[in-house]
Amino acid sequence: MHRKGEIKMEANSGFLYKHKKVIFKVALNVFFIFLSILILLPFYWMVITAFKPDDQVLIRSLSQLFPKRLTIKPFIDAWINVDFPGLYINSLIVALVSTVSAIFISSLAGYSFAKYKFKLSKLFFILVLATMMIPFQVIMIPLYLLIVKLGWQNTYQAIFFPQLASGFGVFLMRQFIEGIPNDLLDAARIEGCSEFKIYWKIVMPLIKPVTATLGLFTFMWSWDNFLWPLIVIESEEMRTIPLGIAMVTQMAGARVQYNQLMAISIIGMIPVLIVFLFLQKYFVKGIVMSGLK
Amino acid sequence: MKKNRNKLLLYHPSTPYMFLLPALIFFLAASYIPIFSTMYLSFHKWNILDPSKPFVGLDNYISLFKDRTFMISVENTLKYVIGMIAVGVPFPLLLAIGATSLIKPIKNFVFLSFFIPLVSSMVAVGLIWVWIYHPSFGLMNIILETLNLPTFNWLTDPKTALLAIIIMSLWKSIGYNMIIFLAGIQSIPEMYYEAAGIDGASGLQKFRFITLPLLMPTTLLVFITTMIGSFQVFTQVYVMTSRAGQVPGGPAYSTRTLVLHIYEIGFTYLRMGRASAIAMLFLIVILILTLLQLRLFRKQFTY
Repeated sequence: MHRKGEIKMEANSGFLYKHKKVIFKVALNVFFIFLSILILLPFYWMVITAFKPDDQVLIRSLSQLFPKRLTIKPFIDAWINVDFPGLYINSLIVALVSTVSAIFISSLAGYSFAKYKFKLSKLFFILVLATMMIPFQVIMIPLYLLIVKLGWQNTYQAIFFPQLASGFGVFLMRQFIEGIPNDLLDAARIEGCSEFKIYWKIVMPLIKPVTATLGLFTFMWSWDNFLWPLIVIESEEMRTIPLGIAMVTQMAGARVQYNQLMAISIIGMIPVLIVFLFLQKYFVKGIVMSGLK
Repeated sequence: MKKNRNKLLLYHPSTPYMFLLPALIFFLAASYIPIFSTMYLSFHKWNILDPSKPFVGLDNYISLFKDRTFMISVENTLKYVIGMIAVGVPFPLLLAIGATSLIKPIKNFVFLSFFIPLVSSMVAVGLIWVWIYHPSFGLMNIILETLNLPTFNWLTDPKTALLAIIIMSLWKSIGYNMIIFLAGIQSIPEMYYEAAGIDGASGLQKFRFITLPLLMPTTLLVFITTMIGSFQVFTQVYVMTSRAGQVPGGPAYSTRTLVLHIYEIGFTYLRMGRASAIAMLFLIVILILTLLQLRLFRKQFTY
């Protein structure tokens, strides 16, 4: 899972390493293991709670950390009370449309900025980059009014509309496409290739790594988006995963069954979490690129 | 070469514009028109249910400063931002530096465990933390009790609710800044350390005179991106503080943040003009921070 995407720490495994003091090194490793366990503890707590029978949940001692009896009943209850297939389908549709659209709109624009010289190129590029500075929360009110005007409340298009492209995506694509040699494109032109065909047959296959990174980021962003669906979705059938599981606490109120709540959390996040963990290297790349814009 | 190219243009001059068209339409509809609408709305008094929309000048802005809830939300947001920066910048820096000296299998384990919260759904982990913060049966108080430390009512006590949210947010996001710092450390040329080694520098000296100064630009960048991100906090507050029949941001407004305030004013009270005025103030803060970030970025690659 690590290999290429992992930040290479060996190269500068630096100053502490050369510090010869073995004790210090051992202490450092132990400290980090302790820290990692601490970080993972909430997930462990979630898992053991989710597998506890109802009468075992509210026990007040550290012995709770090692439950004696386990059951899958909370998962069955969770599955009955929350329409997971519906939520997953909604989230998946919205995330897939957003991802495909973000890849195409961004790569088309990125290609135009990277490989063509035209009059308004610079101005348009600055205008696109400037959108990165506008936080979504600032424009959500007019966007909501637009959705109302179009009569799009409680629809998929309402949710994915603001996610169809991003300034970050265009920037990322332009940076990457600039690295493609011009000779390659000119050769294709002389062969009589149409401009769109050059984009489709030559540029797109060459930018697969950045497509993966941008696609993954858009997918994850869409999957986790909460504020916007909260605003435009009221009907239960149109809820996405985050909305569906957030509403559980509001409905249940104080009398919430915590083992069931944790089971809901698990079903809501584990499948995607596993996928994301496998795609770790693209994430790390994307974070580094977004941080060092 | 340039002239030559213009003469032998192999494509129609409109081609680049055609490629740009979808993006331009999108950004016009989803960014530029809305931003000017927000500005326009912020000068009008408008309840969405009311057809009249009178122009009120700066009234929406001025009345904000008499609005106690708004002032509380500004104060809470600032507290949150300061908490996130005070811990969320130096701590990942030290962790990233320390992590470079770990042995391989432990390094992989550490990396993975910091990565998991980062890619987990915010709403789902919000629910986990609601349970962790349970006053009588939550993990947090059980641990504190075992260690003979005082326990708290975390999310239900106005004194600790915001702190509880900060702790959870730090746990969720610490891996992000750590990755950026690791990339920064990685970009320091190895030859600097070699040269210092030849000159007889100790490990601590190398840290003090090579690693730290060369990580300064990265640190500033992380500082500002953390600040921008923290100003926009919403989801965890909403998830962790909303109960049946309660407005999120409680108890007693102690976790009401700016974005939550915009959301409440705009979408619960439907006062679009006033909500837009808050949004505009919010935009100005973020713009200043972003422009600062862009300036720092220019200096980023000077070494």
